[in-house]
Amino acid sequence: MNTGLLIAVLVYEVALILGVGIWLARRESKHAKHEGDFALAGRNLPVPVVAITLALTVLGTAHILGVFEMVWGVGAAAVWFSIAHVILLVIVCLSTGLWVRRLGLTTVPEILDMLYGRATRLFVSCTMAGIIFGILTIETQGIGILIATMTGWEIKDGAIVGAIIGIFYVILAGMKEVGWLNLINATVMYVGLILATIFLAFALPGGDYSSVYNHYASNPETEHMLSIWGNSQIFLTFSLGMVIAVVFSQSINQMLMQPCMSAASEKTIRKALWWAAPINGMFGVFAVVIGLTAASLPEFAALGPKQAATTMLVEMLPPWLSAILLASFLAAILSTFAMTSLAPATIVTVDIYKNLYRPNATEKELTLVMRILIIVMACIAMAVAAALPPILAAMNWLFSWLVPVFWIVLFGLFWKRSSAVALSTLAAAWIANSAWSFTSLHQVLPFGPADNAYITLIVTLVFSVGGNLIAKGKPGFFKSEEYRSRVATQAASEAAAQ
Amino acid sequence: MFWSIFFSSLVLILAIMVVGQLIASFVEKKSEGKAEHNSEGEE
Repeated sequence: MNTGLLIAVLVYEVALILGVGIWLARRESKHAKHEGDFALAGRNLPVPVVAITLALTVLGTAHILGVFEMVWGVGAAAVWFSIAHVILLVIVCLSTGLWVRRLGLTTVPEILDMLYGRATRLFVSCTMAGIIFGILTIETQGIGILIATMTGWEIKDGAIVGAIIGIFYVILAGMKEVGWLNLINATVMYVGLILATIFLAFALPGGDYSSVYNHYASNPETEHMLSIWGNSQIFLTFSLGMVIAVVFSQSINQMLMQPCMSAASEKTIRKALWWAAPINGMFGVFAVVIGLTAASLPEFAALGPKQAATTMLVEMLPPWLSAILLASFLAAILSTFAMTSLAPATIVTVDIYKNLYRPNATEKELTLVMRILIIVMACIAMAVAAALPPILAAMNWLFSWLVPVFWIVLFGLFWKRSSAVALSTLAAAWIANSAWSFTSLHQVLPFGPADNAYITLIVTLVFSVGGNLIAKGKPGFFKSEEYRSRVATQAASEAAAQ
Repeated sequence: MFWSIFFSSLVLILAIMVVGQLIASFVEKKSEGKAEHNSEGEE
């Protein structure tokens, strides 16, 4: 066990949580009059803040440990997970982010309620809770990998201890603090990863990456792993599949919509793209290079794709740098653990327990139910994480559930609004996604690791386009009088606020 | 190896951003033209 590293990492976590907590408490006491500003920051955020927030909020386990692991199968093409996020940010900053700001909406369920009514909103809300829980199981696995790296335990045991630490983190840090912690950790992690890439080169034979290059280039079967384009099969199955899954599931992602809503103007969001996209996209380059290096060194390759890179960082970097890097990895994953455990617990407590069973429940009772739910979900997450599903493949499967949501929102805004078509599209796409994963249907078409994104996209387009051509419905929201009056009201309220 | 992955990714990212910006400008101009045409029709 690397006791020194473990202590350094734990000290970093506690110091950061306490430091941010004290800073937030002081800040709130000074700005008590502006309560509620935290969520939307008074709608006056400048370009740098919007850009950094957009770029860093989506960096999590998949960007780090997922890419380290995926490099083993697809080589440098694993960078397409980051490239998919660049395309995502282009779409958010030049379309969806501008629409939600213009319409004055903050959540995806709100948009669905406006376009198709309450039934569609509830249908999607319940599924989103399930998807968020799925991401929680991946975060639990991520904590397990990091703890296993520091202690030498099995990842399964690390995941159990990790989930327990995660529960304490949620209770200690709280939701408001988690947002700030995420931003600080992502910044530390980014700088740490760049430094790690530099220090790693010096620690390699010849003081650069030429030995790693030679390892792959000398074998015709692994030569393609040095190119971000991979080979045609990797491009069609992994790269393109990742683009479809990420772009169509995350373009109306809540975490990305929030900074857009808080931006000073639509122009601010457009300008933010030029910083946010390269910052987010280039993160993948450093992760890919570290992953390729770990897979090329026999002593670390023997540990397998999940632990090779993190163990290499601990053993080859100066102790201060590996401590900072692992601490920021762990903190970033813990922050996402906190958010992904709180969100479904809130949905079940408020939308199901309170609304359907206990309308008169007190705040104390609801808090107790939420805490019990967090513990129950963390326990189930431990069990799922112990099965060790491949991280990026699991992410791809989870993201595929949101592909139909993007298209029904897009068609509802621009083309036609029919609740029947929207609901049948969602049902068909979700049934297809499940059937593809849990039956032998996927053996009919040998698509590879990214097949779910393709199948949900095809089913979504067939049902939504076909349904809208046949069924009657209201015209797209942007063509309606309701839209014009909403934009006018929004503009008037902004002018009054200034 | 590092610089090859670094620059090919950077060029790809910049190309995606430029293409995205061009498409967005084109769509915006088209919708502005449509809106002007509609307002002229109403007058």
